[in-house]
Amino acid sequence: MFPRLIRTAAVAACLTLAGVATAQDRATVVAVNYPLQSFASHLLGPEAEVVYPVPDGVDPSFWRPAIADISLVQSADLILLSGAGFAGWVERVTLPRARVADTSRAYQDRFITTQTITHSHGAGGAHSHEGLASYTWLDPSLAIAQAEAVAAAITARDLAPAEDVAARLDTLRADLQALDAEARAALTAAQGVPLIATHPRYQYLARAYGLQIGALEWDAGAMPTGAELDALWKLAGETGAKVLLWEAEPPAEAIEAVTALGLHSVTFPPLAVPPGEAGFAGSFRQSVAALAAAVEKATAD
Amino acid sequence: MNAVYLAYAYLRYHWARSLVLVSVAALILFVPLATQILLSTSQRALIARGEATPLLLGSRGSQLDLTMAALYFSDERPDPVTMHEVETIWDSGLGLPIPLHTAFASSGFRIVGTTLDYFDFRGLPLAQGRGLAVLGEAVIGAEVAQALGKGVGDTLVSSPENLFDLDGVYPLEMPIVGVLAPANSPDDAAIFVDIKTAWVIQGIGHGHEDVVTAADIASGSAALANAAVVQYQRITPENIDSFHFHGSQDGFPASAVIVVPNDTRAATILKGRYLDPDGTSQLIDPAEVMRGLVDRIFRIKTLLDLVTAIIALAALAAIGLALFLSYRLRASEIATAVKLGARRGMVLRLLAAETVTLLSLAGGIAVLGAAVISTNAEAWVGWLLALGA
Amino acid sequence: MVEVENITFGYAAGGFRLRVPHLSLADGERLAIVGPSGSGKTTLLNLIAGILTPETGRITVAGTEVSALPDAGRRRFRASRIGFVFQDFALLDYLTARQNILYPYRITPALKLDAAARARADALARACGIGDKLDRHPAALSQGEQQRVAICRALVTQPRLVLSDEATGNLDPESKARILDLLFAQAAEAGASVLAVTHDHELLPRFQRVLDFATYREPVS
Repeated sequence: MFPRLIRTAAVAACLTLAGVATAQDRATVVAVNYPLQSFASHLLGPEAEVVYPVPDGVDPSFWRPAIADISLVQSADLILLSGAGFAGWVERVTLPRARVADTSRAYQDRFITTQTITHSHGAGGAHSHEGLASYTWLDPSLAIAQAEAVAAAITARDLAPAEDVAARLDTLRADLQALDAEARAALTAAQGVPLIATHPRYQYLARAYGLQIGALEWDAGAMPTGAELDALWKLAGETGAKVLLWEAEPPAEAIEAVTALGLHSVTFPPLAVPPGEAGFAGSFRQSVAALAAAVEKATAD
Repeated sequence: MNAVYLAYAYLRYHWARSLVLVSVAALILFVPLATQILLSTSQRALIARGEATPLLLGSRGSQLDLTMAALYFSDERPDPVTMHEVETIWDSGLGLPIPLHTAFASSGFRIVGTTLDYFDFRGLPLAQGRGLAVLGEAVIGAEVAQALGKGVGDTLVSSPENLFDLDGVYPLEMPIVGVLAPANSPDDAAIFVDIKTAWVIQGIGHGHEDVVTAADIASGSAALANAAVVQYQRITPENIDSFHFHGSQDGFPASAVIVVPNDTRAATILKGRYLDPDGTSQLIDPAEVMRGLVDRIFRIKTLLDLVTAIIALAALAAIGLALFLSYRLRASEIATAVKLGARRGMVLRLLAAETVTLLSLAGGIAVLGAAVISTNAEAWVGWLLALGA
Repeated sequence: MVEVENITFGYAAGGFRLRVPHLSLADGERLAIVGPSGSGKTTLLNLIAGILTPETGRITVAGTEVSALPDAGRRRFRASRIGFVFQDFALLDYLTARQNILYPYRITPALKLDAAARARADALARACGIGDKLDRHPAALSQGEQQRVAICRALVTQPRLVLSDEATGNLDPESKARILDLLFAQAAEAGASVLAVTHDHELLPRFQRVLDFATYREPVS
């Protein structure tokens, strides 16, 4: 009778423990762009699953989540926003404030204001919006601040042991500082050299390294139209720029068309979407090297 | 046993009289019991809502108005605080701020703009549909659903705040995406929306080409905005991307902010920060405010107790008289019993058994009634309190 | 069976005094007491039953000196030795005929309500012709039937003496004789003596002896 009771109790205890183990599913963290996903994955290690919810081929800035996507985001243990107006959908979706972290809140004073949009509707008369440049992580010092904010959010919600997160943050910070130093060295020659980007994505990169980058409004990775090429020709003429930054690898004929206008093409992914194998620092390094090489070539012309 | 046997036979034979006596006695016992239960439940319910809401941040002014607006979604409209206050609490790391925007109503029910945290905080499960996901959506309380006969798939239009509103702010039509399970609290009578949706109603956020007129709907074509027809805006998949907010969210209003401090220490620190009498905001303990209110209200209870006591006394006297008369009616039975050799005290026993049977029946019924009241007290009190709000 | 020796009795309110120098009743004897109202007939019955106690003298019933018993003893004695039949039947409206017959068992611990008592009640009722009406309440019975129930109640305890106080007073002339015969028959069956107060002079021939309180002489029957 007695041993049987003990056995039953032991089985019950095991079942309870198993239940606890299954209940302790890995935490889920949602990141609205690749840099945040990359930082969070690094900082969390195996402790949590970091989800970048935007499907392949969709610009996270203009993604419109379906209800199922919103449910996924709402159910996350932590939702990492990039701030600075990045991903407009977060303004139109209901999020649990307690689990949302605005990772750029600490450096709002360093945001770059872009254009002013004026419009009118209703009887309220005309009003204007301030635009903010959103790709803050292209300045590694801001990326460090963002990584720190991610680490703080993870620690505050106890998603991973604080000392582990702190250690991983130290590594990440060192990586990004090294990246910053490398980029600064590589781009010293590019300071004051006029550059053109196919899309206004590089404001923070430009400010960080003293670059002058004019911008067009081309579709990423698409063949520019004749009018767009005319605009490039005009802008190149005005600024004297000889280097064009593509945000995604363009078709070969696009490069040819641009080369024909006397410009060197550089693909510089702004990293909002995952860059593939290279990772955040790797891709950034490659882009900086390619940019430095193109500038060197352009100045040699 | 024999006395009980005879008492039972007597009561059964004179069932109508017994019924009246039992009912009256049961009522006399039941009414004060029920009143006590309902009153103490409502007292608890009133304080419970306060106690379930650790701290309340709002504009400096009437603490009661702030509490009533934030806890009971009453018609009081305390001066708004800015979302900057929410962010300040948030940045302090001392607690979780949950903003509430209760300035608008629809079909007589308050529209409560808040964040998803509110549902977690109050523990409000959905009975139907899903939670808030997209700007413009509404989740309604059980009572709203019942009163308006609306459910998932229906829409609600916010009541125009001012018929002569010339700012171009039109009522907002909101699709109902979820219905909450009954909570027996003011949450049952609320229409929950994202606080951003409340800002859209307020005109802080808006879209373009967003004014839909009744005529548009009727004719299916666009018509000129005309003050003579009911106009409202609607957030659709086509226009949602054009919705935007002007300025920094830090400046946006909230009626009140529920603050859930991390611990007692955090609560003390937070309270200390809002002590400055020259400050524009106050951080109050709603439980205290409610206790003060309840204390005042329940002074009436003393009077009620007195009335109950007087009525009970009168009714008991009536029952006593009825029993006395019934004893008199049985004088001949008593004489017979004596002649037949009934033992001393038998008659007394018989009458006592009858009285005790009557009173236990009445007591049983009263206790049963009280039990029914007690089990349903929370639901009924919730309903009663909601009536007031 | 009954021996009354030199008793006197007066009510506290005064006015009336009863004196009975001697009265005796043999086993199984049927004695009628007649006399004008207020002559003390019922008082005598109450004295014999031990409901009242005489100021002086002695009353012995079935070998027990009732007048010497304490109150509780008199009650016990009354419950077990005396059967009572009243003019107004004194049935309880809320009890059925059967419950009325068994009522004595409900009010005194001296009597045990057992299967034998219940069987006796049913047998008596059958003998009295009300065997099929035992579950009715008095309101659903005729006066004759009610008095039959009362007779059953008086005899169910197997008393040694049946005291009848104007038992036939409320009945129609035809029923009177039948009920009295029934009472006598059942009393005889049980071996009980009968002492009856009556106003019905036409019934007197049915008694073995008649005691006239008006003259206080014992006329020969």
